Amino acid sequence: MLSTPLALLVGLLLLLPVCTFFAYSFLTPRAFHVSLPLTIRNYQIAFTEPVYWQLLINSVRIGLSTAGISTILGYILAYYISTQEGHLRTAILGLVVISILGGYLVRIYAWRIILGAEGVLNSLLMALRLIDHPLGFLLFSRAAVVVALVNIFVPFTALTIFAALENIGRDLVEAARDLGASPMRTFQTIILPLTGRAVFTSFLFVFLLAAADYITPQLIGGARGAMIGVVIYDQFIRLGNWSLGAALSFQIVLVFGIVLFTVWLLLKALGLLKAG
Amino acid sequence: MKRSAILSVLSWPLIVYLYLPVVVVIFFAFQDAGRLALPWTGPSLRWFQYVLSDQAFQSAMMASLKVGVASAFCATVIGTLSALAFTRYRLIIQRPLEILAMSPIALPGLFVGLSLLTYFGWLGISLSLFTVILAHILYVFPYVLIVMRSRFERFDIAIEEAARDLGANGWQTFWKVTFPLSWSTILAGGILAFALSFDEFLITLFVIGSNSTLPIMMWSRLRRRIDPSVNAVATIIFTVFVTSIALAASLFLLRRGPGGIRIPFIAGSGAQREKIQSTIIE
Repeated sequence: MLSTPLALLVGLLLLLPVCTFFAYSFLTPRAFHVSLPLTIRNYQIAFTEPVYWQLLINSVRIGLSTAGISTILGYILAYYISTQEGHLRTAILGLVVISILGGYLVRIYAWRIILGAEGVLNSLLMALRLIDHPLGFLLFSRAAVVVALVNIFVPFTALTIFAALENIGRDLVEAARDLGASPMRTFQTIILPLTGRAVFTSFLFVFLLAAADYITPQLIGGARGAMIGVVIYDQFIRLGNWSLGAALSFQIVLVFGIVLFTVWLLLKALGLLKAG
Repeated sequence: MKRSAILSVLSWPLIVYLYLPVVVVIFFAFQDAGRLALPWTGPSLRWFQYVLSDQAFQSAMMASLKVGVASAFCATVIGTLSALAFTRYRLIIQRPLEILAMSPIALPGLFVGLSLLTYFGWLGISLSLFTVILAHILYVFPYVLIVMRSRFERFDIAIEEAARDLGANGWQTFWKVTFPLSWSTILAGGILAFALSFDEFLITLFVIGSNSTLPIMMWSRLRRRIDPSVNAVATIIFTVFVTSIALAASLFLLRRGPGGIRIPFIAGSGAQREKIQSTIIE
């Protein structure tokens, strides 16, 4: 009884829409809508067109860099917070939580002001007489996209990993120390494996959300920071080929799934995914 | 000692980096000149005045408020019912339902947005603020559920059982016992949902049609040309967002005592409180 509204929500606003979306990828495209007959032509185009693969690979690269950097920086921040005590600990934790609140679009857009040709960074460098002309390569590059995306995701990875660090019993760490393990060894054999799950969770979330972004590349990516999400967006909004857009979307679901599965196998092989 | 020194040397610049975009945007919102570059001139409220008197801004603001309140209300009602169900009954279907309901957290906005776009298209529902509200209910629901569950898992069910034994039906038990004990968490969940909805952009862009919420309006402006009023809009979105989250957090922390419920915190009038307490004692 109590679960009925939830079942309706999941069924009517999640499962059915995803099924419709999937069905669209097998239909024949008409301008801004679809019609029968069923076809696999959309997938043939999606999987054989080199441009889509290039953009997909670029997206995977940006996704992997963003997820890797966000996870490492998040880990450093989380570890730092966990070593602090008292008010300082609460204060830093608060700072990280509050930094989430910037708002997605605002934070992406801000990098245009910071990295642009007349931007804050170039003006500062010119004022300090470190450069004569504005550096044009700061904005509209793959690096700019990663810098902007990492900025959004670090608070999330830091908090996820911090929660995992807090769950490690102090006695476990102290036992390792008492048995003569160096801090480095304790970290490698106790702390890192016990937070492996949180590390993978963080990586997974960031990768999925970053690699499928379609706004950041449009605002600050330029040609070199182009991503597959923008092409899918264009198919739906500008070109009106909804079937191809749907097929491309499920192509990235497949590819991202394979990438994440590989990362999972890698972490498992490194012994970083023990029960925690 | 040395290790923690390295950690803090790495961490503080990181925190500065996290705050850099927001600080820059707010800083330039108070700039007087019509460009977004140094040297900075100001401070000036020029762009705020411009934005606040702008018809397009006013209607976008109203749209954002409507969508935020409506989707937060629906998500909170469904979230409360679901959290009650999850913590009280163990049905086989609940686990998969829960995982599915949580999935929008990890699903890219592109995917969710396009699923809904094709779905609404298939059903022949034209895009409007109504479709945005539906999308936002789906998007904010997982966060509401997390907040609600954390409350209802600590809830002492014996109190509800006492009410039942005394002859209250399910509805009465909820309104006389459960709700007075958990309203602040429910409200916190609602405000959190509002804040998330107010800021949502990636899904909204696909299901809004020709309307505009604040982030959508900002998007259409900043694509056209350099427009310093965008910074004022961003600052307003940011302020609403931060205020709501702070409110939600303080409401949430208000009730978080160690374990179980704390009788002195029962809300409502003195008479109500006495009644509940006597119910519990009986």
